[in-house]
Amino acid sequence: MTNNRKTPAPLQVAMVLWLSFLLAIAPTGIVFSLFDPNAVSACLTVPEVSPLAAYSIGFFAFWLLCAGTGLLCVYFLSGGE
Amino acid sequence: MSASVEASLFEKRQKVYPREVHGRFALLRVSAVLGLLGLYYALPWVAWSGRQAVLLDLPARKFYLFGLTLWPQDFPLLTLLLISAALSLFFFTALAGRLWCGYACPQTVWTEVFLWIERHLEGSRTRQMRLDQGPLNVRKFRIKATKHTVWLLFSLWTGFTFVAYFTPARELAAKTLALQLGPWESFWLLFYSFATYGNAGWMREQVCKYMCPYARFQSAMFDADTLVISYDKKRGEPRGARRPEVNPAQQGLGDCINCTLCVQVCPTGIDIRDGLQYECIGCSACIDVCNDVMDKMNYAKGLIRYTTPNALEGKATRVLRPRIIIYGTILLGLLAILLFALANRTPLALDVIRDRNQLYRETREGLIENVYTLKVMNMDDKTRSYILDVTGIDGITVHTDQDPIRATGGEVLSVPVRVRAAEFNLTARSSAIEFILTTADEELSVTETARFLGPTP
Repeated sequence: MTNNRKTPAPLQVAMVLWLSFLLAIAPTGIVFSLFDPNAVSACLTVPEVSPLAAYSIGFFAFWLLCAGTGLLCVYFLSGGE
Repeated sequence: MSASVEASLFEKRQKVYPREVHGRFALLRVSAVLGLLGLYYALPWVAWSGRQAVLLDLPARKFYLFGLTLWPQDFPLLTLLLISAALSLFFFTALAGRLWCGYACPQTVWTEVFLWIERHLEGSRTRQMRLDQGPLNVRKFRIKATKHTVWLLFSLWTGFTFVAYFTPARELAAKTLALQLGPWESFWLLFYSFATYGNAGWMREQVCKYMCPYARFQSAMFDADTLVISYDKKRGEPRGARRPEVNPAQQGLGDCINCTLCVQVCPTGIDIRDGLQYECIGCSACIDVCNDVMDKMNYAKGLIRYTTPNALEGKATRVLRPRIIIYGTILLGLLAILLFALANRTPLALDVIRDRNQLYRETREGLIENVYTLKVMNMDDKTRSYILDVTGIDGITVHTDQDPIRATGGEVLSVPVRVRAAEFNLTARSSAIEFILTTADEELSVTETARFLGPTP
């Protein structure tokens, strides 16, 4: 196993961001093939957004989640340093 | 892996100046770059049956792939396609090493273009190094500014093309020229441009060495029979400089003249003579340049060559081995399922939504009536007429104001329908019924079940 303490922090962040970017594509595809953002916004009392905005925000939300998980893992594996 | 080696993996980056190389594999790589990038930049402008041939129309939730229109309902097909693509990557990696990395990966092909631009504007490897080491003056500033401007323009074109796969290219071009791009279109155009500029212009080999997950786990697919680029140590060592007319055997030398050209052409800056390394992207530049040197020295080509670890040790190479058979069988199976699913795909879908306001009502004729909204999706390219029927209860009838139901290609119709049945034919408070939608030419048919509610019998 790689010792993360040997990897400079910016490179660790870049790795997590890139991997989470790739991974976020999968849940975005699955969720939006099941749910039409127009239909969801019609059911909920949320302001209407363009489909492209909904897909983009959805993708960024998944990216943020994946990246957050990855960064926390790196942080805890490094012993909180 | 020892701590010292790990530490060295993340040493301060020394810029790599890959020397230009010519040869059989360079030609192959250039062909791959031109072919793949040509496809990427040209496809959004290709028309098919009056629309863009490849368009991922997110607002309409439809993917157009030439004659095929994929709907959200076809997501399993897309998943199957992606799994097949991943498996073919595993299969070819096990068989012939990093073909993907060396010839087809977007990081490789775009970096290659950025290197061409750099070489064209800054000159050969030596000139580039001299320019970077020299003080900042007007000439250096002019050359660097020109390079980055060309890189940025090329990146913007790349970003524009990326967005053109989601918004029709001609419409996007008109909007861009009129400076009327939407906020998200502008964002994705700039985001992808920035990613191209950063990855291919600045990060380059670092993406392959540190950020690419595939580079890290591809070694799991390698075995002693996988085709890899190797330096023939037995033939090459001991290495050393000599004149072409000198017989190396008499001087106790191997065939490697230690010219270091194989290191100078390497886009990741490694020395292939140190053995198989995970940084090697399998681009074959070292093979081409070494073959040139061998020619000049009148030695046999192939001191660095595509070979297998087994062949290097003088053992027989097995092409058909368990992992190849397993990857190959799964891949063929998946492709067969995909083709079968595509060939038998019904371009018609039906959703039945019950009216939530009223469970049922009694008509003036004394019949029990339920109201539904049917969502008819014509996933075909042509206009279709449909005949609707309902079964499940004796004497059940269906009534709609749209007769016949007609949907143009790609249209989603909402059709309110009333279903009636006599009370004495109902055997339960809730009965299963089936809506059957058939095209007028009886070519396609879909069935969807629903519940018919009535009073307790």
